[in-house]
Amino acid sequence: MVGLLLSMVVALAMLSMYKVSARYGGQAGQDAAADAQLTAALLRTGLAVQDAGYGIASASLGTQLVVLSGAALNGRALSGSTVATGSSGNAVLWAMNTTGTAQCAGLLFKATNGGGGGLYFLGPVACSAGSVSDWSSLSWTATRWADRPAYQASNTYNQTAISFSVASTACKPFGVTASSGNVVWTLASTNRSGAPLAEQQCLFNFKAP
Amino acid sequence: MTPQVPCSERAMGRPHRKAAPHRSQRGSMLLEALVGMVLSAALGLGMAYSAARALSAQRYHSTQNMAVLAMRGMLAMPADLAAWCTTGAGSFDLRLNNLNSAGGTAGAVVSTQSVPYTLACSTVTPTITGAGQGVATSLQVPATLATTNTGSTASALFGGSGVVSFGR
Repeated sequence: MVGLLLSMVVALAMLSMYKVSARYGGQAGQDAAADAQLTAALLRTGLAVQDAGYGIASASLGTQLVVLSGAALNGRALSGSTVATGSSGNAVLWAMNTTGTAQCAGLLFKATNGGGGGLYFLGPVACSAGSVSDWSSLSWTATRWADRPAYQASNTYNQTAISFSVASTACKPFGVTASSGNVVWTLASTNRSGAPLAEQQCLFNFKAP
Repeated sequence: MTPQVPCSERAMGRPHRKAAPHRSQRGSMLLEALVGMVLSAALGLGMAYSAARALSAQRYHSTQNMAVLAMRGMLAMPADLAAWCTTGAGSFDLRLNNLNSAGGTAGAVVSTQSVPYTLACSTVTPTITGAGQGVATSLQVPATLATTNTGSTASALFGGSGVVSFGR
């Protein structure tokens, strides 16, 4: 009887060991995938946002580059409200002229859990006079660049969001001294273990006064 | 315990009766269960070790990602490149959180890790083609930027030196 009892204890211990290791292994895999996706998104957005103000004479903050808070895309219409310089929001929009005609593009973070959430690239769509001021009347297209990871009740940090902000600060990209910008764009988020991440870009198409 | 053989049988020179088979195996199940316990304990230790390795490798990887982002940011926006090149070394902070995903607040910093780095600069003269593109001047640019944090533990556990570097 003692042997039988011990065997049952061993069998139960092995089952619980399997359960624990499968849970941690699965979660670690999901966290690693989500972090890798977030890092790739940071690098990709950093490259995309350098288009802001390109080809437009005297590009300025507020006209060629705006940050929106509470931004939402309903069909092809974008809603939200612009925020002051230095404040953060969940969308950033810019105007550029990389193709010979003025276009507007942007980035939007949708905080929807499950399907539909994530980081979206908006546009590029034609916009008049190289200004993004009339963003609410434009017909935006959206491409998802990064998923929002699936919700896990066990992980507090899966609710992490991506936010954007712009600030008027003098900067010199990669130490090139001949030109300088006066707008620093920041993307902030947190990774799956809760550590804060931020990526900053010097937007040198916005000239220092 | 040996079976008792009646004296009459011994006296008649009959051979001793063998013990019943199930009696000779008494305790074998207990022994098997004990061996099973030992084996599953070894298996459990192995799995715990490999799970710990996987989790810390993930942590190491995500910390390296943070170091890459921080170093890229430093290269993209140096405040004073000439002074930075002259100094050639320094450290930057990585803000880390705890590994316990069940508690805490996202973005709450638990510890700040200082990561030392070295910087080497070189002077390049860019070639600019096309008319009216200005004058080519020599520029001092960062050649390599590398962390010098080579923890022996990390190196022993994961292989490699643990150094993140940019440049040639």
